[in-house]
Amino acid sequence: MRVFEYILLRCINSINGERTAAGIYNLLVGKRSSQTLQDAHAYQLTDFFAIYKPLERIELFHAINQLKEEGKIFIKSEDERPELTAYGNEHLGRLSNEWEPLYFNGIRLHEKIGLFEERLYLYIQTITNMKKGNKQFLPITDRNDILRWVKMNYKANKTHLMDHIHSIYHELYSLLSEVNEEEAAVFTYRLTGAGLIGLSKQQLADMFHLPVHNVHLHIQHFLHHLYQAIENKPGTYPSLSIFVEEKETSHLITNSAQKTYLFIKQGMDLETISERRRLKMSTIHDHVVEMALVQPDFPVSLFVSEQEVKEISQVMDELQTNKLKSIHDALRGKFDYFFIRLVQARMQHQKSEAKI
Amino acid sequence: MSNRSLEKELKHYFGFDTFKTGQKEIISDVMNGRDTLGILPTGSGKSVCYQLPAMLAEGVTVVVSPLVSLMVDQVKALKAKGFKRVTAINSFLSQEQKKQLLSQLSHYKLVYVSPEILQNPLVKERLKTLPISLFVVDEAHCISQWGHEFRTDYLKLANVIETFNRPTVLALSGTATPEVQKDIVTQLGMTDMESHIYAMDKENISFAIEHVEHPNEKLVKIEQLLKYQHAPTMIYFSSRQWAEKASGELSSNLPDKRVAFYHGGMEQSDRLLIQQQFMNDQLDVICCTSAFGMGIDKKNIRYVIHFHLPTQTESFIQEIGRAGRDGKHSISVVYYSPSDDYLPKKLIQSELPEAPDIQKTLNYLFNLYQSGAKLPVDELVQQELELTETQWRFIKYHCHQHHLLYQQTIVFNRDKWKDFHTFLTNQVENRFQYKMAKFSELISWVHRQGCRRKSLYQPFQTSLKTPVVPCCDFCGFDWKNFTFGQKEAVMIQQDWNERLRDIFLLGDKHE
Repeated sequence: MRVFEYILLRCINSINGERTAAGIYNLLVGKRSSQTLQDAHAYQLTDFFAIYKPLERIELFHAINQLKEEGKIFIKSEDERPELTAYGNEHLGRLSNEWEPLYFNGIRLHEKIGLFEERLYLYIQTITNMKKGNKQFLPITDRNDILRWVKMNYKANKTHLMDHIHSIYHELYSLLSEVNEEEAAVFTYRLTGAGLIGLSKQQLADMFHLPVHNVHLHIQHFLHHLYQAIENKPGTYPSLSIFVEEKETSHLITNSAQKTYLFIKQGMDLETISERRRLKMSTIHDHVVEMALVQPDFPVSLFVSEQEVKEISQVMDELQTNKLKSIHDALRGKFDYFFIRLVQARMQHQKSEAKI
Repeated sequence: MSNRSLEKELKHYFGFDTFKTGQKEIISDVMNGRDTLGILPTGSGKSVCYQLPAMLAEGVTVVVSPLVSLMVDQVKALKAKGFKRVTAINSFLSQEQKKQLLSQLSHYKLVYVSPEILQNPLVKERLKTLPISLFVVDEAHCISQWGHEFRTDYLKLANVIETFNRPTVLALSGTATPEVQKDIVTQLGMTDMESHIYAMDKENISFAIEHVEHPNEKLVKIEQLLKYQHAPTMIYFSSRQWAEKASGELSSNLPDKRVAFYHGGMEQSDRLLIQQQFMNDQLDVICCTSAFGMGIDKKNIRYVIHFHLPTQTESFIQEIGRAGRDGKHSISVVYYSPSDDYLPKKLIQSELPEAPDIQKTLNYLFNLYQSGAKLPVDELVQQELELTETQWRFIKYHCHQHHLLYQQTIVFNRDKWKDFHTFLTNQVENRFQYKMAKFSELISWVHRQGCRRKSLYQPFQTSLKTPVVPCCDFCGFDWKNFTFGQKEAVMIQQDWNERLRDIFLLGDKHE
């Protein structure tokens, strides 16, 4: 069982006969109860909180039983609380040498990792398919919010797609090189590229002769490692940093605009954001324009098509003015002010680039 | 619209040069505003019959589809092809997502809905405001209790069609006996529908049935059959455990074959990966339950093997319809052992409430009535009464029919309730007998002497096409010695860094 075994023994050791196996189960699947959270803190097991959401209760009991049969733990029959035997304790020491350091940080990341994982997989599937010229492919997720997020970020990077793919590859490669071979292999085979679909957990288990538990934990562990590495050194992993919510975004943007941006990044449309935030649509528009002004790579194309940009910018060039009203009138009111302001914001970046 | 331009549109939207049998006839009628009934065999492009009109028509096309997974797959496939203005409303959406979707609904040309969600007042009201030009009932056999899947919510569609300002109606099904066809028209409240009925026998499928003593023997037989084949294969099971067990044994005994299992109990992400691997020819053999394959459009499946039979002929025909969509030779193989009759019987039973369930439900409703409460949402009721979805749907439907329920309100009348108890008990028994009779029909096909093809399709159509491949084991097809040829399977495990390069299309192979 190895990693899974190690984690179980660690839990049993920390809990020290004060909780039943059910308590460990609740911890690993991340049960939202005050008892579980309290326990996680009290026994210093917060790192393992919710790192194994799909674990089935019966599977855990099988594993606990096996540990008992191997003489690593004993369970007092009256209260069903497992404790380590001396042998178990020794064994835990050996496993610790083998597996530490572990980078799990469940309590802080458990809500982020799932989204991070699905975005990463779909993004790699998307950019590699685009590189190959497959404009039509079936995405490996059904979640619309993920699809929208990936689309938006792809659009932001598509002008320099080849370089982008290369740097994502190199960043991923260097992070994979830091973990053990088995974990790197399992994670790599989980990825889906153009015409090369990733493996299910059962298939990975068969291929690497591992229990499914360890496959799951390897993947989770690498994701935790990856996430934190990017978070800590965004400068070292600039391309991968799109997958991690910044600890703090550019100070040039107002707080309120940042919130709106966060929602946009999650793939929400402007109507919904305005409803959610109870802000007027015009305020949301202000936010979008603000971000388009501050961030050169802001995907304006989410809101206006290339054709529309062309039409508007042509008129702006002809008139040589930044006066919204004049542009709006010259276009005979065909476009909302919002669109014109967005295009203005984008052209401003192009101008400054041209100067350099 | 002239026919020539229809073909142009087909090319434009779907990239096909010509229509498949029946498509053009159905599309022309629909585009001319005629209510139409289309019976087209599985895999013959049923969905194009409404997808193309949806692209061309002014208004919105609403498609009622019974399976959420099917809906999701269809929307995904259309989006992958570049149609963006398509969406699905179903009960899996959160309240918020639903609200968001409804507020933007006018943006879409093609809207998939489940029959249940059409009963949601919010959804119904919103749809009413749209200019619906075409109303499609997919899997229309669900409307008939003589169809192989009966969905009570389908019976309310006639009413829905009226409230939607009576758009043109298109009813589609892959398998419907003449009896069911008639029923569809009546239940939809139509008097006159243009019918386009196409034979469902496939001229490129050969049939074979083999009887064995014990289920374990089947695995040995399948191993022998697949050992020297290069042929994408589906194997159907009626239990998840069997699918997993078979997948494990086949992969260890056929090391050069890539085998995997698929069933409804897997994590969603794993399901999607397996599905796509199979589509992408990364798998040779898939051991699956009926949960697999609804939205799958893989063209080159050569073998559809039934390790277990489904509970009726219609489902069987639908399942073998996944073979040979490329028109090339494909084979249906059924392995049958006497103990196989047990599983379907259990399955049928589990779909119907038992006598204690009925009493328990009535007590539950009575308690609610006394405390002045309304009926809670279905999931809660099911949990409370420990009923499956189909069991509760069955009871609820009849409660409505007999006025024990008016929407969510419970209406009590002692005598009426007593009668109802008797009625429902009988009804369960009838339904069970009916389903078992359907199952016996399929079993008797397995035992019948004579041409497999003829006896399989007999209840559905009067004449058969001449097969372009060997007909069946009974007609002399030496299927055990037949082979689709062999190919060296490539299943090398690479270093992770090599694999990573392949995923990112880097390195010599890709430059």
